[in-house]
Amino acid sequence: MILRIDQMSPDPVYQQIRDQIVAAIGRGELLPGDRLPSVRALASDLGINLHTVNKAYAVLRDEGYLFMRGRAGAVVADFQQVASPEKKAAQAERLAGTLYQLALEHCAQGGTEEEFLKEAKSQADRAFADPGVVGTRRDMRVSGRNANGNPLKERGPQEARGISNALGVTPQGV
Amino acid sequence: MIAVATVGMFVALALATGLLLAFTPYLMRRNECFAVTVPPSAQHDPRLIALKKRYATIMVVVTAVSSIAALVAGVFLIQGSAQSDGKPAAIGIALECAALFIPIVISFALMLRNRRRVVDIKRAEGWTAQAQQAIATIVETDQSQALPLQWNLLYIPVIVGTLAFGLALYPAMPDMLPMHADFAGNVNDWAPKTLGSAIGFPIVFELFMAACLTLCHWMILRSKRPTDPGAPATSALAYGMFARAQSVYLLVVGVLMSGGIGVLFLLSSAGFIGLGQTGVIIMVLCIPVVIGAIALSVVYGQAGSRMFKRIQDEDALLADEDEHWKLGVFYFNPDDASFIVPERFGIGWTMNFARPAAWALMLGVPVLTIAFIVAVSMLV
Repeated sequence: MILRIDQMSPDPVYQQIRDQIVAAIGRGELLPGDRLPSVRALASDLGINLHTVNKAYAVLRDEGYLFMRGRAGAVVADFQQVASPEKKAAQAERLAGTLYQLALEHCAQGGTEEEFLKEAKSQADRAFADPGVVGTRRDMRVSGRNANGNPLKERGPQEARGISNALGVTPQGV
Repeated sequence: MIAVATVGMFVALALATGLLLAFTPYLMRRNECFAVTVPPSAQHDPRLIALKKRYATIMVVVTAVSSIAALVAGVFLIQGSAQSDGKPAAIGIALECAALFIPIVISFALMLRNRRRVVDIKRAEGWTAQAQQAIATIVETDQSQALPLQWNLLYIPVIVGTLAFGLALYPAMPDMLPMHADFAGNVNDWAPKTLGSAIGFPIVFELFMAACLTLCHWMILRSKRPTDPGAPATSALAYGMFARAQSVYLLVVGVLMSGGIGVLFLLSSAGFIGLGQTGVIIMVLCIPVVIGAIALSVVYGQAGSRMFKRIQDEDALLADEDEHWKLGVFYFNPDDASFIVPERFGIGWTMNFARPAAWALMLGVPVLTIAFIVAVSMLV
């Protein structure tokens, strides 16, 4: 995964780091269990202060995206497993609140609900299908897992048909 | 024989270092020219090309002069050592020092002058950075990187082997060990045989080499891994391959040289080869080591800059480091957590002088050398 920061951008650097790591987790470039570099190594490579990287890692820890595993350093967490119910509830509330705010603003600017939903759908498609800026989603099928890290199920005839339909190939004799 | 080898080594060293200095501008990274950040497409600017060519031409001429001076210095040194009058030998040494150091000083001065010219061109063309981007690669640790530090444990069997070999040869050694030979190969200084003088010196020498080279290896590992924001994946891979090659070369040369020199000293103490011949062999061995290092630098370029032929050079300047590089080559950035950074005009690495650790290292290395000299003088 390639982390890019811009010191001239209006966003603080630790915010940029945090956003990019969260985006990478969302795209599947960072999987649960991946070891993030040590604070010193990352600060050195980016040419920034230790404190900045510490802040970014602290924010990510608080939000539940990574945890520190002693000597191994920072490890990407499986959000669903690690986050407490309160945290999940808080995140759900935050999602609802942000969407509500956006919808209100769209309404205040004279937009319609359909436009809002259409835009929301296309952005969601983009986020959930994004292969990433620098390469495709990591192919985990080699280790017997799908893109979410869950073990691959045995493919039955139903699913095989589904897959070949997705590829645009008409299954023969079915 | 020794005389020829000495003179040959002087000349070869002057030639090799001078030529490397001359062609340094062509080995640097795509977004730098004479220690100034420029857009990669500016490398095709005829003014910058002319500056590089003129620098190289001047440095080649200086190298030729310094090589001849080194030759003369060698002759003076050899003639002078045979005489009782110390002046020719002193002239020889002074001339050799000049032949090695003056090209470095001239290249630094030339670099500074050209740097000022590039800064003027940059200002005139308006090449300002619209961003201050930096890149780090995360998790992709299967990419090339420098060898792990544990490889330096290879020095242990070398030292233990030398110790065993020395103990085996000890009874066969004469009571007075040859310590110094003149240029004709005649030994003119001996020391009484003790465990310290016979085996101690090669062991302490190998320990010192191992310590110094392990320190160098550690510095390579701790370095900032620079990445070009315009081509993050290729530049990260290129740097990784460069660091790996340098660390491998450092290890191989270190193990072979320290083991080889230790064994050679033992053999000369035991009388299998003359002390003069030992000197010749060591001096002759230095030449391929230096040439190998230079070849490595030329093939890879600084930080891997020559590894990928760029198909397309961008115009955009995505990061500008000029303000942190004082006099072009001294990195001073208190906001940067890096301690070791790749050099900006030259092959290899330099330090972030805003870090106290850099000054500690600069003091520590002479202290280590002094400790080595004291240890050897106590043994012999």
